[in-house]
Amino acid sequence: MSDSKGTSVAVFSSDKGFETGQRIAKALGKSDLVPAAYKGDKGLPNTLIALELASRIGASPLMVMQNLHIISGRPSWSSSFLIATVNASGKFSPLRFRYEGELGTEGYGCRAYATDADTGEECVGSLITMRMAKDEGWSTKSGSKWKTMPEQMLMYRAAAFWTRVYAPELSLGMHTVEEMMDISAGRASSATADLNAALEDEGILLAEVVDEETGEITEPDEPVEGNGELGL
Amino acid sequence: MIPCPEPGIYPDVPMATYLAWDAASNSQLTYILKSPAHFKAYQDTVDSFDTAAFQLGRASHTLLFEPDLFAKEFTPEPDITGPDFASYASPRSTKAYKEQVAILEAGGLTVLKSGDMQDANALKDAVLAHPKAGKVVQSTGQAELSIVWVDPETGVVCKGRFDWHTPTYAGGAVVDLKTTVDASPGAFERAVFKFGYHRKGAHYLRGARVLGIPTAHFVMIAAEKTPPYGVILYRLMDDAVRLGEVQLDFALARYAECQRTGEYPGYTTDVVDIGVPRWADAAVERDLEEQTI
Repeated sequence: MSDSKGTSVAVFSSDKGFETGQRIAKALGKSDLVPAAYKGDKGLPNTLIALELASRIGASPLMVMQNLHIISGRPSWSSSFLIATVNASGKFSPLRFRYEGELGTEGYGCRAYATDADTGEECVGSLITMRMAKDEGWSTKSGSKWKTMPEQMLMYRAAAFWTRVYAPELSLGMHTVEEMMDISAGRASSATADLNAALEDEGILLAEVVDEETGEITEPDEPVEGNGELGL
Repeated sequence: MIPCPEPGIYPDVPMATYLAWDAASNSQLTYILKSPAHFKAYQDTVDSFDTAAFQLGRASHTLLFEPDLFAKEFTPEPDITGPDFASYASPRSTKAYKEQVAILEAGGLTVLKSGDMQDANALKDAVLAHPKAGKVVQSTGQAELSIVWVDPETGVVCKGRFDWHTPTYAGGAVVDLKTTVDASPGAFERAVFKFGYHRKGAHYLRGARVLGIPTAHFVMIAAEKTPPYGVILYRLMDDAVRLGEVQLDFALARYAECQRTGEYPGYTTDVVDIGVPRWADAAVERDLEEQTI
């Protein structure tokens, strides 16, 4: 199944699309140009998803594969790719940026804006400020790029916010790499949170002994030593 | 090298025996990423890698996970403050000291300097005192568990040795003790990549999965070997495990090829471009900006 340009494959829309997608994915998986996550048989499922995303946003599959990153287990766009996708969509004039406030202060910020190609309406995005970066904890983590390249981060974040409200069909609801890195910083992944919770539960500190007749739970006097129990 | 046993779970295997098993360990795969020749050199000289830093790590491991074995494997050095050595400025350089150490080592013991002995004990106490690390290592589980499995993709026989495995918490965990000079997240993150802990995690989790050992987490106890003996419990994130798997797959394919051909080539013989690391430009720029003329 092809779009009007005859270049994309809607992988999950039909059996034929799925079969075609698999053939394309296998060929792409043999290329040295695609990132490791898409290579070989193991990368085939990822490539099928990349083909589907490329079809939806009208982008080249190779571009999608090179700009889609997994951060904290979730797919995320590189910011520059998101901006390029908006610019190439033909629905808006290219994204531009407007700075407000005084450089070096917390009030310094940036908005993204563009003009709707059909109506001529100016679409102005949210103001992203350094204060917001501080309050949200984006700029306070160790190694944060908000400290070393604040202007670039302001533009990237302004573009991400703009796209989410004016062209969500292009971001497909996904965050940018920089957003995901800010969001995930300082927050434990769900698996780590589960482990933390389990370790806080005093009830399973020691191997409990359950009396099968009374149901009474007792704890051994001393920590249980290694005994080969793997719970197999 | 000695023949590796059939795939399975092997408790109570002496470390020397495990090291001699002819199978792909994480350490070997790390060397083969550099070049097959480096892997071969490591394989041939594996016993000579027992440096002082490694000894302290080994002593801490044994104190924590196999305390009953400690006295059989380690001994304190001769008392350098005692009457035999008190008059010497550098007692460890004396003939008498070296002779006493040689006798102890001939008995199969590792001789720990007094400072190392104190550090190993303090490190062990700090781990046990940590509210969660202490809980993990004292839960139901098994120390020094050796495993052998066949990699499903390449057919390579692999091996691993868990410092500690506990099936108790949130799906089970492999626990690895890492002695370090800096356990802080920023420094330890770099150590994870530098020393390939992400690859080790991927290797062990894969082995556990193949053998059906309940393991949802690769957990590292990062313990500092100097005061205040800071301890942090880390769980290797899934993204890092995935990165490790990518490297592992490459290393295993190369390992399989070397086994098939019997050839272990070194570095390329071509002339290769060399520059400075990518971060150098920014570092130089920053340094110059900070200087005033």
